[in-house]
Amino acid sequence: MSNVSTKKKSEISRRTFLKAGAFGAAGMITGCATGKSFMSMFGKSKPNFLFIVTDQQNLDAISAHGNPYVKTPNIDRLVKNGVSFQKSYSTNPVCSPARSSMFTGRMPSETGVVSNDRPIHDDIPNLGELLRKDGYETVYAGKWHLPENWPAKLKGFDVIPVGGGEGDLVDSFTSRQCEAFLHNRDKSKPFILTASLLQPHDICFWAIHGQKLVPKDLRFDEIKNKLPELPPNHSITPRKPKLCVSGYGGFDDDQWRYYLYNYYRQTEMVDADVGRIIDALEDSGQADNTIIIFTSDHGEGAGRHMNVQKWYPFEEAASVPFIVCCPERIRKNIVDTETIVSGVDIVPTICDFAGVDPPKDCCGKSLKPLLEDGKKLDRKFVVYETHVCGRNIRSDKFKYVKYKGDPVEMLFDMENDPWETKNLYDDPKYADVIKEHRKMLEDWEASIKPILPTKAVVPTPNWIQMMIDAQYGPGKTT
Amino acid sequence: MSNKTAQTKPTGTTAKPKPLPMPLDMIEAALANFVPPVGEFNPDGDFTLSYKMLTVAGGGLGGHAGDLFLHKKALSKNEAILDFDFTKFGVNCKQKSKAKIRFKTDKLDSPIKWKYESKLVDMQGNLFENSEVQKFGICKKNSVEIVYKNKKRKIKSKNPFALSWLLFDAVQKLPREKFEPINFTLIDHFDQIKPDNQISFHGSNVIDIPKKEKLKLHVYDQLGNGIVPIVYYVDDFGRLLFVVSGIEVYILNS
Repeated sequence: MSNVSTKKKSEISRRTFLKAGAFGAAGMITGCATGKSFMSMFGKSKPNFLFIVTDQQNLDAISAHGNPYVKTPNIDRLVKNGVSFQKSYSTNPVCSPARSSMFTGRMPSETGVVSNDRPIHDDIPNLGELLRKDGYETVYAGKWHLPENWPAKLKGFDVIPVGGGEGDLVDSFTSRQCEAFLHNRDKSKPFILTASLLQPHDICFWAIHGQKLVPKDLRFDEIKNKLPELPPNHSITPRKPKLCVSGYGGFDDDQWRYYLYNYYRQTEMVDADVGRIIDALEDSGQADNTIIIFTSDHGEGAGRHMNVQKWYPFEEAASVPFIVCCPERIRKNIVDTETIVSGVDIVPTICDFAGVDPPKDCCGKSLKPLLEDGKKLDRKFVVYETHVCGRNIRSDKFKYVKYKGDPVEMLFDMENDPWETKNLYDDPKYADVIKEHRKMLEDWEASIKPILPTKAVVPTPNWIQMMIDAQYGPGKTT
Repeated sequence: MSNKTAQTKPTGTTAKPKPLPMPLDMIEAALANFVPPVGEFNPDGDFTLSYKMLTVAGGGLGGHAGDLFLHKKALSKNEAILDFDFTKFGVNCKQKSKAKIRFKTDKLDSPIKWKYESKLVDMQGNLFENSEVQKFGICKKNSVEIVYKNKKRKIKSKNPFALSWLLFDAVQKLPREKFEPINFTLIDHFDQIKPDNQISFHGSNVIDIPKKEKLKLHVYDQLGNGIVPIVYYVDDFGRLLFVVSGIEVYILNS
């Protein structure tokens, strides 16, 4: 039960939050976890899955992660009741590519979805197809964007149709229908319900409409003292590859702060919809045997490096929430600051819990042993793609970025410089680190099976087509 | 030969219209054909008002995203009922919601209790399986109970409660002068509890739109947790004409 009576303000001050870095001030917290999985009253029955996806939510746009500017009591419930990963990465921080990985366990260069508005290649099964074969009821509600935003039909899923408008109008529609499904469904079969919510993606329009939504003179005097502080790396733009365009020049400092204020209100909007869905799961008596996976497709610039939006290598775009909880199966109250995870891990993890074989050539790893028993994941790095030809390696302590054909590469010390203020690529002290990361990238490239891009359903902007032509050859699609 | 004085308005020229203040400038195109209702309006009495809901994300006229009907009936000097009927358009579907809300006719239209129902239908009106929801809400002193299928959730608040759709009525009766902002806990969409909201008087504007010059508006701002700023515009009679919240807009059907 939620309680909105007077709450103490977070003890983490704004300054502490900003100093601590993009991953929140909490660090590794061991709560009341037993460290072992324990038998539910159902024994080892097939669990249900509730897969909640938000859009454009930063990893640190969660109050339980120490952010004093946003209140997310419902997402906080998931953090408190499960494992929340702090080194969690989108496979390609823009909508369609990231989502293609979430539903297939393959990298975007393997699904063919190298930029927005493309379908997953026909030969690659999605999560719904994999679980449906095993007797699961597989249901999808909300944004898909592979390529349709609001599909009426989907391979592998029964679709609850929604749509019409943007996040502020659609999410309440989506969460209401998810609530109805959870309460009314026939409970004799296990299920997977994907609730794909759109907020806080609406923030895109605050940058697009500029002065109309973010005026120079703040209209609302009452919130003058409640605007978030600018991030420490707000006006820092390290040397970077050409395609990593950043620096939204449309706002002054006060406008940026009002932009952030709106971003966090939109995050609170989606938190309320998350709450409605998880309340419905609990009230319908299905929570004990349902594994909740919560994530987002990519992050949001939020004024870091003067950025808005997404699709570039920096943390604000690439790192996303990734929380898994289930009262009967998964350790509780763990904020994991060590394990590096990726959107490709979602499918093998769900398959492992479901007792289903992961898809062929899946490049993600199951997190089940870690989630249940704390068993360390054998992984040294993840790779995420950006801008078709960008490859980014996140290892334990570093981030290395290379764009095909661009002489400027990037290296950040993520332990000591989590705000990515200093590109160490030209510092000879790090020559060995760069060599090591290049080898990681080579090994990774040898391990995946890229295909030609699938055909986009809308005309591809010239600048993206040029990248695709450079990467794959002119005019090549599957 | 006539001698036109300087006071004579030159022919063949038109005055440039005053720009619309924020956030009305977001719906400038949508206001091009708006004809304000004529005749008096009693916000304390019974009424029926209907609104078109738009998304103006893409700018311009905006996309028609739904229709809202509000019918208010006074029960006594201090209580009234609001019948709420809302259709939200989806892709080849509609979410149809209805509610009956009993409330006190105080500053915030404090909710007493409500019954809410929604369902999903296709374009022919056929019901989608498993899509129906029926919920009840009961407000008591400092708490609200939301009930669904015999499951109750009780939420406490130090502030009074206000229901989002009732605020469409409450603003019609608020004072048209500066007052101390009223703090409340918002019940959004009938069951989403959003604390630390407030409503205040922003001021009065006189605007020019193509179908009406010098339209006088009284403006109220709602700010707080879980919403982007909401701005309510009522006319001189107190009739709510527009609600603008970021890219979500309600315009009175005129």
